[in-house]
Amino acid sequence: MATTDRVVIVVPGDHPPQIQGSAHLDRLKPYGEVVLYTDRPKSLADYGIPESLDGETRQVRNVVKPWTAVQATQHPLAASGYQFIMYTPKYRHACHSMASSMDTQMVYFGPFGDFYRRDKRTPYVGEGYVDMNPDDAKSLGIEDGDYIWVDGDPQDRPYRKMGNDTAEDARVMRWKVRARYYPAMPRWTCRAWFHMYGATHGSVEGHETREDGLAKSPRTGYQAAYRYGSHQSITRAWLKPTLMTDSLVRKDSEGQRIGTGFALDVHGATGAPKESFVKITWAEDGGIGGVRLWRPAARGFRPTYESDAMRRYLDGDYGGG
Amino acid sequence: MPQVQNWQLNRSMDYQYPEARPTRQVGAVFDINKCIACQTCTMACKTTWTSGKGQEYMFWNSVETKPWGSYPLGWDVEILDRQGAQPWDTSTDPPTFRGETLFEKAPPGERVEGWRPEDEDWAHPNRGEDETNAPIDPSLYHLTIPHAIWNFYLARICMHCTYPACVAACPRKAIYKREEDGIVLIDQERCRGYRECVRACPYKRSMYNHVTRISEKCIFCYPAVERGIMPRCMRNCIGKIRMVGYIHRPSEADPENPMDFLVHTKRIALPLFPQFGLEPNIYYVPPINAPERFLEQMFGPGVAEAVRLYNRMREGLEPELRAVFLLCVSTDKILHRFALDGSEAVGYDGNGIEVVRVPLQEPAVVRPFLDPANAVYRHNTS
Repeated sequence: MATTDRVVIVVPGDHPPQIQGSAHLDRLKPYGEVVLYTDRPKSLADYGIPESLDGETRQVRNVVKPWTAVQATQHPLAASGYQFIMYTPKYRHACHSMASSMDTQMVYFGPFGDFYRRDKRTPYVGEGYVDMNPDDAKSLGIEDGDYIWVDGDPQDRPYRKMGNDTAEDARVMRWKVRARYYPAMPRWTCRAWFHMYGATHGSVEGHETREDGLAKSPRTGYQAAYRYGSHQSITRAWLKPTLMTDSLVRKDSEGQRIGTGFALDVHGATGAPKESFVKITWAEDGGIGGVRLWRPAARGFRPTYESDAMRRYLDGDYGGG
Repeated sequence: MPQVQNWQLNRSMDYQYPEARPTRQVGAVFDINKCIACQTCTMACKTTWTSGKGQEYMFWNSVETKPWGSYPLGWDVEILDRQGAQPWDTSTDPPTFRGETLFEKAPPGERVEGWRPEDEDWAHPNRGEDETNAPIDPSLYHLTIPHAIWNFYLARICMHCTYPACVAACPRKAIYKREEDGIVLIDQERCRGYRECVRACPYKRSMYNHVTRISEKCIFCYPAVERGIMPRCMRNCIGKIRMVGYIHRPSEADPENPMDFLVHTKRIALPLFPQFGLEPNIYYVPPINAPERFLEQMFGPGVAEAVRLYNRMREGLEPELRAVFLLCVSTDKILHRFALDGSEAVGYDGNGIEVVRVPLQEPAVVRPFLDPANAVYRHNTS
């Protein structure tokens, strides 16, 4: 593909452009246009789709613009307090397509594990969390270990028209999660791992009615890793059209053989619902029972809360060189 | 107060009891550069030894991310702050510790300087995972060694010290070192749960069971060791970071013994916090990505030389070192001797029998792109 004299930036989905070289991460902000690398752009009009920046259209809308024009755009949700690009990758404490469910896994999955659940708000012996840049969190009044609300595009997440919904569904599905200060998280981005069992009507009922507060369904024993909602509350998948299921020449799902016709990995829903653009707001304090600061931060052993001794330790001052 | 010889400090020091080394001392080397904190060791230990009542919070083996991780909360910061920075004399070879050990710094009425964690300090065993020492800064280039911002993984078990603080502190003499291998055990019949060992151990590897109401700790899987087999945490190590063997004093070091070779001959494996004075028997190859000043605080004055040597090995200039590291967890047998046989590393058990042979260079095969049998090109995607 030949480029023209235009500056062409590769930006799939809600992503910001890739920043090269010495550029500063504060330039890493969400822009309004989805720009694809192509020299044969088709516009929405070519497909008879009206121009719009709503959530559905944004996903299929290909626009080619010079960088200076892209730079001047703004994400349509930014005006409503949406600030963060959230991604939900895989981590080391569970298998790829399997949620983390055993107590020994969950107590070691992240910083909030406690076999004795001293804080009865916690859904389990460990829980899911959102990694945030400490400066981002502080700008929103969020302390390390606090609970936060994380909202996705209200047009379709957690489900369509939830904003007007007063039903139980909204309470079950809106994501309440723990925030964790993570010094290596680039600003304006945040992260949650995808291995957590999400809240259900049953787990919420368990969390709110059981004496021990476990987010465990009283009917099925289903154990959630969140009190409310999950990372799935702020992500969604777009199914691709299932074309040519009778005649497409393609490989088998495994191996090297060529065949034709329907194959699950080719025609089924692929592409993990990984990224989202979210709004984050403070929900509860991180100390036990929602009182004051989470203990490790209060004791001076967390990033940006360092005690004098911790600061000396970080600098290597206790060595005898 | 008896005087005992601590070779890690290159001097004698105060200790509660006279020097009484076991016939043999078992130990291990952990190569931090290879640890990925998968926690397989942690879970291997947990499911083997601490799944009972009162043991829920216990991880006799744990892996913490440095500098933010710690189990229990702030264990090393707490004791370092009580001990204070202590001087080493680097004009001698090996360097001589001129400060005060935790035994020599004991306050009146105590045998060891120490502190007892609160129950809550044992919560959140993996707090700090993967966190870097400082905030990310996009103006820094992160792929230089050492890294501009850094972290590393510290796998920890009981150090089975030559001069255990738990042994010194126990008022009932319920803790002892086994004569045959130096493994430190708490006698579950004698212990009354005073928790003096929990307070005294600077590495915080004595743990109180609130159901049995006595203390317990890592037993170095002695039933396996008695049969020449490595402990559970060691032989399950995915990253093959661990060498298990028998360590000697420097004057008796055998350069064909893999432990002695790493610790004494090459001095690439260093004790964790030698300044405490316990002569711990788990040794660490320091991480080359972290700054020297932080590492010296943790592993003493031998850090710079160990890192230099490790980099030489990476450049292919230390075939014997490479041989020993390749033998790590390539067998579940405890190795007593190693040899470099041409292009292969060989390990021998206690009877001198070859139990493992590893090529220095793995054979590699490149398959042609076209598979003529199926008339297709071989892609790495299906």
